[in-house]
Amino acid sequence: MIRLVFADLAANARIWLGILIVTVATGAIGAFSAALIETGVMLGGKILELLIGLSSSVILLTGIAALVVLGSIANLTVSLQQRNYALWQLVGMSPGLIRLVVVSQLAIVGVFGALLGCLFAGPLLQVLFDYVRTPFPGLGSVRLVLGAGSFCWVICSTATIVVLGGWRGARHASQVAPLEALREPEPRGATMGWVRWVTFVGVVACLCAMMVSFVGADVALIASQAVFIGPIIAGGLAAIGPILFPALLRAWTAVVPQRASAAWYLARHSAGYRLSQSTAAISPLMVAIAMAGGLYSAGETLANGSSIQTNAAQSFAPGVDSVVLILGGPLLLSALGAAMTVFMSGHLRRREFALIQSAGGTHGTILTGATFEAVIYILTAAMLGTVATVATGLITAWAVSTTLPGTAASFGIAPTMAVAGAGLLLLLVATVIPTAVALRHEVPQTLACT
Amino acid sequence: MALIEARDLTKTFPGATRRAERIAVLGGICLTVEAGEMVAIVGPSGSGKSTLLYCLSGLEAVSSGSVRLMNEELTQLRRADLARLRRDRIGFVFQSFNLIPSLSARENVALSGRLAERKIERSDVDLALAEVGLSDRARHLPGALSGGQQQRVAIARILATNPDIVFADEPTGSLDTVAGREVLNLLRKAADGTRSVVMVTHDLDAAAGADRVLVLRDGLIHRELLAPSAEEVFAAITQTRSGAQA
Repeated sequence: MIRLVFADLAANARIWLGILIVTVATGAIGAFSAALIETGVMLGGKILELLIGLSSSVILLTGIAALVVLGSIANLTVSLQQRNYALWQLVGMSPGLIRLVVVSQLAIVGVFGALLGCLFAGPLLQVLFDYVRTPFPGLGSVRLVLGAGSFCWVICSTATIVVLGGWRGARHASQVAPLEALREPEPRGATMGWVRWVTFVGVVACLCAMMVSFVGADVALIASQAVFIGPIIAGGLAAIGPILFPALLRAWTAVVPQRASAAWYLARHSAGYRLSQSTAAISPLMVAIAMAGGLYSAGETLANGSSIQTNAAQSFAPGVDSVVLILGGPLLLSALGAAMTVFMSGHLRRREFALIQSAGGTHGTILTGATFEAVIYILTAAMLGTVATVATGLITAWAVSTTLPGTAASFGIAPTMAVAGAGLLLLLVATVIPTAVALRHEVPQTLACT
Repeated sequence: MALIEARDLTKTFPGATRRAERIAVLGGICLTVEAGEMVAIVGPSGSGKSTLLYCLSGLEAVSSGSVRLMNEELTQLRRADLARLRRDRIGFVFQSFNLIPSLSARENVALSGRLAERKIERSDVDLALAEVGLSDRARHLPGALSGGQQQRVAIARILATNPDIVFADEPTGSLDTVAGREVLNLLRKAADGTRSVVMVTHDLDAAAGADRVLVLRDGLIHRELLAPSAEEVFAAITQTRSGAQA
């Protein structure tokens, strides 16, 4: 079995590389958070308070992003290898053994990726810390420490997220019908497991509890929690992603006439068909947009409240270092997650591109279709992210209004657009380049490889 | 009228290493295919059958020689022109996985029209699906269709788009006898007064249904049989194989 675990990892290196890269990034960000906590505990006093305050927001936001991104990408990793699992069953492997192999592979990649992330982050921790601590004069001479204990904690927690993220996929892998090895597998319909429902209900409950605690609360308390509203809503939307994303995607893309262009027609069908890939691409982008938009939405709304309190115009303009500290990790994970999703599955579509060419499609049509597909993903993510951003502004305005009546909501539109634009660029690179590479293969050779 | 004319068609592929000699797969093929003719290409494995089919259809670039398809010289066409030619005048049926997985049977049948931004009437698509006996499967995705049904959808696409030439590469290779027979009958019907079908096959009965059978050996047309029986095709292939071994 051990031989199969490693041979299969090597044979499908491109697919596993995607989740490995995201895991490396998660490990690196985890190492930074762990170093903040370990250094704080070691130094104690005021520095402990400051570092715990800093690390808690980094851990919470990165944690939400990591759960969403690694969960989606782990499931996609397993889903892309469905045919292999069917072949394994055909040669007599039991479903239980297949599940064990898949979970082992996820654990290996999780541990190895987190280890690489920690090693990679090691020399950069102090450099990054020196950059983001500028707004905190009390941290002037602090040297970050990352001991073996924290190292192990980061590796274990990252590997656990990877395994948990792919757990459902591993179960599906063991249930793949052997006949799927012999034909084009029919995509699974949108399904919501109990874990997703529980997560969604938990998120709604958490949001309700937060809103109750806001009634008549001090503005400082609202300010400390409002920044988490957007990410929490994004987490809830991601939990019901399997039913929400395809429905929204199909609904808004239906507005554009299918006769607009053949490339659009192909892109729309493809995005709606590959639900695992669509969900894995949309989730991280939505989280990134919700986090950036939510931060500014909450901050600007709170500034509106302060304007009423002080009778002087206030604005929310955090420094780049603060934004990097709070959002750097989640945005990095989200961007990598979305790009890797497209990269991982790109080569599996060579045959489809060859068929389109044999039916008379040009390279231009196929490349334009790939571009449209990236646009579909980003616009769907932007719509969902905007829901979280707008909700953050409205909830924050309502909460502040309970003590400072008349506080107007702001919606952080500019950062939402900026993150969506950056996401689009990244997705275009991740989509168009693999498509162009796939088009370099001769049609007959591609068609010969069934 | 000849729809396909190939003259001194050669095709070579790179050797295993950069310094190794190129491997000649087709060595100077000359052939013509007339309108309304069904031509089968048979021969031992590795004789160059599929390569010849792909070169004739413009999917594979030839190394030297000339291929004229409906009076258009393929070797001089740009990539976009080749795509247009395929879209407007050529139909393909491959051994398996012919269909775009994200499109339903009906959408796959209408695909060429979509790519050409030329409307194919829904009634034409439905008629084509009815002709191949798949009216009730129009909304199914390929994953929900059997191999034989997928092949029939590919043939329905040909019937709906009405190309001048159909190229079929082992169209019955992955089908059982009954499904294979159905697909062959449909292809046979597709070769009518104006449309030609060129088919690569290992199936002797399938080849025997053609108007003409070309027996390939070592990249050359070794024998040409007119309306042969399955036994004659078998004898020709056996003779070709023993000749190759000698």
